[in-house]
Amino acid sequence: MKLGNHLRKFRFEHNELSQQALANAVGVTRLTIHSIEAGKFCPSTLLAMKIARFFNKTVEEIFYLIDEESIRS
Amino acid sequence: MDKFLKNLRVTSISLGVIAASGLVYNLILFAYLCPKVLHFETLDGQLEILGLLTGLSLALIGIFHLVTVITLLAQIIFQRSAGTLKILTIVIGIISGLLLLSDLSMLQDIGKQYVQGWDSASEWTILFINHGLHVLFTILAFVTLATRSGRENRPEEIVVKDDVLFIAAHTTGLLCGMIGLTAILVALVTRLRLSIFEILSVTIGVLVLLPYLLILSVWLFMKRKEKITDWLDEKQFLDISRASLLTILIILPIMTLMGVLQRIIGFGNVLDFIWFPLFIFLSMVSFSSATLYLSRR
Repeated sequence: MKLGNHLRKFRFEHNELSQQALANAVGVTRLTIHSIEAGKFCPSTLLAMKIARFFNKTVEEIFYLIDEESIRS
Repeated sequence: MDKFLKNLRVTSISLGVIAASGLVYNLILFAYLCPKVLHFETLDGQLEILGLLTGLSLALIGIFHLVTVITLLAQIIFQRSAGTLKILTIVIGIISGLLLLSDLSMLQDIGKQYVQGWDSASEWTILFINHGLHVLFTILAFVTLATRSGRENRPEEIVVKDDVLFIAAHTTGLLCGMIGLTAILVALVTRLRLSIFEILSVTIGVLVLLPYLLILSVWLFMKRKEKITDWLDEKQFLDISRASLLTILIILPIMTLMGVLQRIIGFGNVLDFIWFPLFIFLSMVSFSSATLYLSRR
């Protein structure tokens, strides 16, 4: 199982918000936001909820599970 | 702040031009004096004036080192620009700056040994090696200072959690560790006497660790107003945790092998002096390189 996300899409829909601005809003570094977007870092529940609250969405609207077996088949 | 940094950069470059002239003067003078001193030829009375000028040029070179390191550190802190070349220049600058004290000591020793009629070949070698490092620093400083930071005229974006100093600290750790390991390797290959090896391992160890300690001090100073739990964000914490685990996995077998070798060969050999610097530098290289790799993924 992997964690996918629509972060980039929501950032662009949010006045083309920069990674740094989002990082500032949720209290992490720009590299962390970059790694989450690239699917290389799985955020904690707290951070995922902070991001969701920032965009005024639910966590499930931003993050979703990727079933690797279904991708292979 | 941008204007202040610009003035500091211009001052460093101007001092660099003067320091480079001083370096050329020193090297020409040393090349002229070295064979004469080694063959105990009579030196004319102008030497005192020439020596005074060497002292003056060393002082100018020292000021250039200090101003350049401060300029580059200020660029890292205030402009959040920390490229590998900049960090390498700072590391070499600190080591080269401290070796200026060794230059003075070598010049005094050469003078005394000339009067006493003793050989001073090894002091001349150290003097030329030190000056090689000063030249390397001067070139690196010119390249770094001449390259305008891409962030210089960019509109300022407020950063709450910065990763520039985190990256800079680990890049410095990696560079210092690699310099330290190279120094150990060179010392092993050249088969120095144990007494010299012991002194060198301590001196090089301190010299190489200083830039790392400096950047860590700067990082701690910048973080002094934050709670310890806020020093790292969750990904940075995960990265250093993974890097620590990797470091233990690398260091443990190597140190175990060193311990076994020491038991087999016996004590009172070169392993007695290299195990500690090797442990420190290997830890720095593996921890910093793993952290850098993981943080940029």
